[in-house]
Amino acid sequence: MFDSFPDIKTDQEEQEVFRRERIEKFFTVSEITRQIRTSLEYNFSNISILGEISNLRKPGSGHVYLTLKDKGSQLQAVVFRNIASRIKFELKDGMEVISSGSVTVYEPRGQYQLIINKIEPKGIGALQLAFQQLKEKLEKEGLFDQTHKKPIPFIPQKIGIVTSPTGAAIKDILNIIDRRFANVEILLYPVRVQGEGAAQEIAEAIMELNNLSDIDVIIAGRGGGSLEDLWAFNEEVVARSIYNSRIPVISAVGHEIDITIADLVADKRALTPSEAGELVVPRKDLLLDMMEKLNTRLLQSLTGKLRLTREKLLRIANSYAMKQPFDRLRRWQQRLDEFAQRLNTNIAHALNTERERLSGIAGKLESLSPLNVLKRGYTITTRLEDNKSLREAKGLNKGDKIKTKLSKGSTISAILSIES
Amino acid sequence: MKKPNFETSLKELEEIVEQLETSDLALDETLAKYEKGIKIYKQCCQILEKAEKKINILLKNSHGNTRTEEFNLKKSDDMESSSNED
Repeated sequence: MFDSFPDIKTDQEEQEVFRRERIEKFFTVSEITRQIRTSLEYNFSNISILGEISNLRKPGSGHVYLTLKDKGSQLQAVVFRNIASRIKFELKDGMEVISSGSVTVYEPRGQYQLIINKIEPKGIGALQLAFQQLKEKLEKEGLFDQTHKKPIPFIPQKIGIVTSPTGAAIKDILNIIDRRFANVEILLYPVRVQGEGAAQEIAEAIMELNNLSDIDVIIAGRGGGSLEDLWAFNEEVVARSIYNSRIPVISAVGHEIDITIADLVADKRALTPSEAGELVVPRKDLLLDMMEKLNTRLLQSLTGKLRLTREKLLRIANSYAMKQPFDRLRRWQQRLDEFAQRLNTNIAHALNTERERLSGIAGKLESLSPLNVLKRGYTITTRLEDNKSLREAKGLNKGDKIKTKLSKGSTISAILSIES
Repeated sequence: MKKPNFETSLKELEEIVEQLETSDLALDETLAKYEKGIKIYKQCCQILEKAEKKINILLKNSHGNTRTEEFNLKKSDDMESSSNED
């Protein structure tokens, strides 16, 4: 049969002919595809494309397939597993993203596609979006609920600290604790606080400290840094380990302005590592001071009470009711004295009065005394024979002898005559 | 390991002092409360002074075995810089 068509050659023979004649008449599919690929790769490598995600597929292989589209067109894209696993935020249909990578052709299907090596949400940083997404998710689950938060012990028995042993945070925390309440036990569980795997280390540290029986509070944190530096404390695994910790956890990440998921889940948030030192122990000097004052007040109130009681007792003892019997007694005594006094006075007075009367009488008496009469010139005449004092002339005779007593001396005479 | 709670003990002590200062208690009640107050005061002092200062670091070897040893802050050249975190 072939003999009847002497001019027909095989593909290969024909190609040889063409090649020999340096005229390319046609490409093979593979060839053209390959050339298209080369051309696309050459012209469209390392570009960034803005588009909306649609038809997002995440098969078990770990590679992520999606279609980027806008109003007029669409572009197939793929994110291989090694890149996909590192994307912090969740890709969703409808999300506007900026994808960076190179265009190529998937030759077996003649499909041109964008191989994405970096993808970011439009208008917001990838990390910020990831933060928002996780925050929303965990908040819905209730990981941030106030009711779940545990109180921090007032004076801890043993403090567990999860942080880098060489970072800024541990220095600040230890310094503050040393100043406030030096005699306390601390166990440092060293971890990496940034980079790949740091989140896992932090989560494990918290879990392992939970296995120790004497730790009663945990501080987990690190010094300040960029959102990337702090990222480990925004990872889900850390949030869950904090939530599941039976020991209260104080988060101490960066500065006041950096709030992380760990801060939201923690039982207490310290705005800085230094503040964690303040939250975890009280000031011992103030406590001792307070106690000294209480001790003093205790003693003072007791002595005060004793003094008051004593005074009360004295007051009762000195009260009218108590002294009344004595009073009456004294009053009687006083009356007695008064009477005695009056008596004395009266007697003296009476005596005086009598004395006066007496001397009055005595005076009178004296004036009536015959001797005084004699002094006045009168005489006492007595009959010599019987010594009878004579008052009248009757009974007398001439020649009777009479005695006349004068004030001084006396005479004896005979009567010469009688007159009546 | 139960420790009498410092906070509640301190509150109790404050209450006792208040009572002694303001209410008019009988003398024997006063003495009883005073004694209790002193007892609580001593307990509180004990709690504050009892603990020892100890700072340890947990170290793990490759087999996962842990041991603790005393931890001292190493002098590091950069104090605040976080980008040097390990």
